Amino acid sequence: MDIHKPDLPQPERGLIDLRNLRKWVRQDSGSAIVEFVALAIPLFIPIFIYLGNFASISGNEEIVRVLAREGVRAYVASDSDHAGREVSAQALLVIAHNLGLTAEEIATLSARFECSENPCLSANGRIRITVSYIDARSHRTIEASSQEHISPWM
Amino acid sequence: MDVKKSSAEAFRDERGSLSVVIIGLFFITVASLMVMSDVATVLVAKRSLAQATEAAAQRGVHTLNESAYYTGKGTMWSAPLDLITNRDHTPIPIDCNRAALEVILELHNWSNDQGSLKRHELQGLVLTDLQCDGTSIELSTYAEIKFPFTVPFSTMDSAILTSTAGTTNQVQEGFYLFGVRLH
Repeated sequence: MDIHKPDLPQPERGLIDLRNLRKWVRQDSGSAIVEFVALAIPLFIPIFIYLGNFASISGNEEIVRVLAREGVRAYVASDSDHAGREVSAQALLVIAHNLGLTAEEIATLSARFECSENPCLSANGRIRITVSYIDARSHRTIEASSQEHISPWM
Repeated sequence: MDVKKSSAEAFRDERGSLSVVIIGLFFITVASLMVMSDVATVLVAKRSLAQATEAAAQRGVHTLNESAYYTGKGTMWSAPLDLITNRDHTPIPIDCNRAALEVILELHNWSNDQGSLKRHELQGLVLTDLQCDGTSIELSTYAEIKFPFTVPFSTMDSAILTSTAGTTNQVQEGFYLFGVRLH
């Protein structure tokens, strides 16, 4: 037998929907997700941002120190001033590539030499190299220096 | 009585329990991050200290002891004979007193640098030991490093880093004529 349910008039139907909505709002199911989203995301996102930046800064600092150290060593161990500059530049490029710098970062790599004597590779002189490059992600300039004393008996 | 009952009920209520867990985790994470930042700073500073120690050792080893070096009798046959017999070069003697002075000067130079030569967290480079046997030198240094964050749940805000480097001289082989290297 088909029981015919007469449709409720429009205002009464609206009241029922409102009650259902209130019930749904008061329900506990899914509240953990809301709590997590409201609390965890604002608290933890800054931490992840800090973590990423700090890791990047530490890594870059390590790389640029190695570059400065090896760059000046390559210069000092060379036979002549001209060869020193060439070898140092080559060493910087090779090491930068091996340490995982991107092509964009390598393009911004620069080395500045400060020497106590002229030419740089003179006996008893001192060479200071300042290596810098721009980090591709943060666009920060990373810089480090290294210096070495040249043998008086070269 | 009712108040007591309702507070006990509220205490047993599980609503908001996740917040306590998240906030607790947050504080643990922040504390761990502070420790991690300190450790990373120590690692970078350690490299900087090692770099300074090596530079000082390199400078120290260049001090040739001339009186010890220019001894013995060399003739026009000495060099060809050495070449034929494949005799090892005698070690290059170092003037240990001058080496100590040069090492101190180099460390002082690094220590007082205001640029990017050393990490600014390193307070000052101190020479703790210098061993010189006449042909090689070995030196040890230490420096105090200030942490970016005080270690959580402690009062530790600095640490002592040490570094040791040793070096010796080696004759650069080649064919020289009047001081000019031909080969």
